[in-house]
Amino acid sequence: MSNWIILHNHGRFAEAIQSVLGKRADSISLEELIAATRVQVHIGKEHQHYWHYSGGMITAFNKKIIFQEVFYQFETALQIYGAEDRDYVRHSWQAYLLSIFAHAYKVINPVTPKRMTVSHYCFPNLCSIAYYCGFDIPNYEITSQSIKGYDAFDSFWYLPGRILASDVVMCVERPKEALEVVYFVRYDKSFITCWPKLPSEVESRLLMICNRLEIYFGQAAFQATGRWVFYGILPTVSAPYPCDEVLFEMAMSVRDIGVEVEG
Amino acid sequence: MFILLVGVAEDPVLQYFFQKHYVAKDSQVLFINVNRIGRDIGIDKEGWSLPCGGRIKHHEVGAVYNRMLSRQTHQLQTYLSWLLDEQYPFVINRPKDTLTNFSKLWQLEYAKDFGFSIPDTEVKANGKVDMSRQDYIFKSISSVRSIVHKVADNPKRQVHEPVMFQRDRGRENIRVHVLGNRCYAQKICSQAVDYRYDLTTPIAREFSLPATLRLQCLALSKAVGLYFSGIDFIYQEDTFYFLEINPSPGYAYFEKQMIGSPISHQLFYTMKQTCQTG
Repeated sequence: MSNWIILHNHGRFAEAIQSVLGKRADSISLEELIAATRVQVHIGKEHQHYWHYSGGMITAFNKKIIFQEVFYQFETALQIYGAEDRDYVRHSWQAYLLSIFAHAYKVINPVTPKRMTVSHYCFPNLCSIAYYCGFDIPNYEITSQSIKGYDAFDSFWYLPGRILASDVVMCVERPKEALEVVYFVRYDKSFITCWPKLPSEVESRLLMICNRLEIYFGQAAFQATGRWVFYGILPTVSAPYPCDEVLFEMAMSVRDIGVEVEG
Repeated sequence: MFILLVGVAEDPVLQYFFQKHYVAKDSQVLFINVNRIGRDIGIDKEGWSLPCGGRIKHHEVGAVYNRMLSRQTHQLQTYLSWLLDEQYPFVINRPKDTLTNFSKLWQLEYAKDFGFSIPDTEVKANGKVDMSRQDYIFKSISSVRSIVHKVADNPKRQVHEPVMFQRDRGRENIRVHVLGNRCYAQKICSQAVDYRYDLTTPIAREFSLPATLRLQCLALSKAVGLYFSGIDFIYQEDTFYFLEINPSPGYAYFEKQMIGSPISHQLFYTMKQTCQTG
């Protein structure tokens, strides 16, 4: 019986996870989950979730590790529904996933009702956490006016290079040079691995941030001239991806998170 | 220190609350119309800019009654959500704590683990409806399209998206409003399968909760981080079946059928006291 479930949206990182786990994982795409996976839940004296999909049946979710990259990526998979129904169907599946995630032994990366708040990954919140964890953070202003030496954003997600689609709401001090992107896998509260390797003090602060956000993997951005200035963190590994070697090493590290379940 | 009422002008609950004389005459109570944020209501790192030209610093906000319920219409509401979630000292209720209502299934499972009785419940996706279950109702598993229907009244035999089916436990609805360490319980007898949509506006009568259930309600509300909540039960054959915990209860309808206005009163004076003790 496989101990892992990979819920994927055809991302390269999920593919890497699949390649290192092999037969230890049931791999289900979001399209298959939405269109073809028969789900049954009974809450009574017995409390069980059952999935019937092309690869067979899945039960005993309390013993499973779920790797998921789908919770916020429903747009493409919902094209089979009419426009007026997509919001309702997305909410239904997300509501169901919240339940199955609460059942699972471990979810990488987890989503809980509290963490769905729109403020969780907004730039001010991430900066506040990073500052608390000992990082320098850039100056930023909540403003509709452009500021010299600052990059303007039309949302509260720090996405360098994004073309403005609506009014400016935030300006962030422009980094002095290109940001250093660091990929990471956190094993537990006390151990993290990073690509590239970081100075130990920076690594321990990044671990503190990951512990606060309760995420296992992702990417962080820093201005690394002298003092390290935190510019953001994402709980995903998405395009542009790191090189295949790093992707594979990260996948093996994620696999090792599940060692205690596999025995 | 200021008390902010955050929501939209059309919200009947905020209208009802704001009409209380002790609220209306208090110059420290301000209504923030979220639909005006980014227009004539401004917000930045230091505080608020108001239509009258006034400014309020964020550290001058002592308490907030949050009724920001609908999808945000301006990106600045993300910043407001962060202030409500993490910065303002006392918020009824913080947006992050209202999100358990996103998943009815998550709530039911949480309540069951908490010790509440729940109706026999099934969830199905991409499967057939069991038409033998004529004594069941079905509803959305999320907070979207959350109207309750009878299985017997629905001709569809297939479900695609996850749908919740529950044994119909009758029409004796019990609504418990939890406010801090107090409970206000009422019984509503409705002929409709979902009393919220009963056009006959059924009467809500004061109801005496068993002590253990009262303590459970207080504990549940606290456990999910809600100072103010509305917990719905169905009462049948001496059993209280938990249905859901509502993080933004539309309490006005119920309070109008109470003696006095205990909920509004407690809401206001709790926020006032928080501002005074800082």
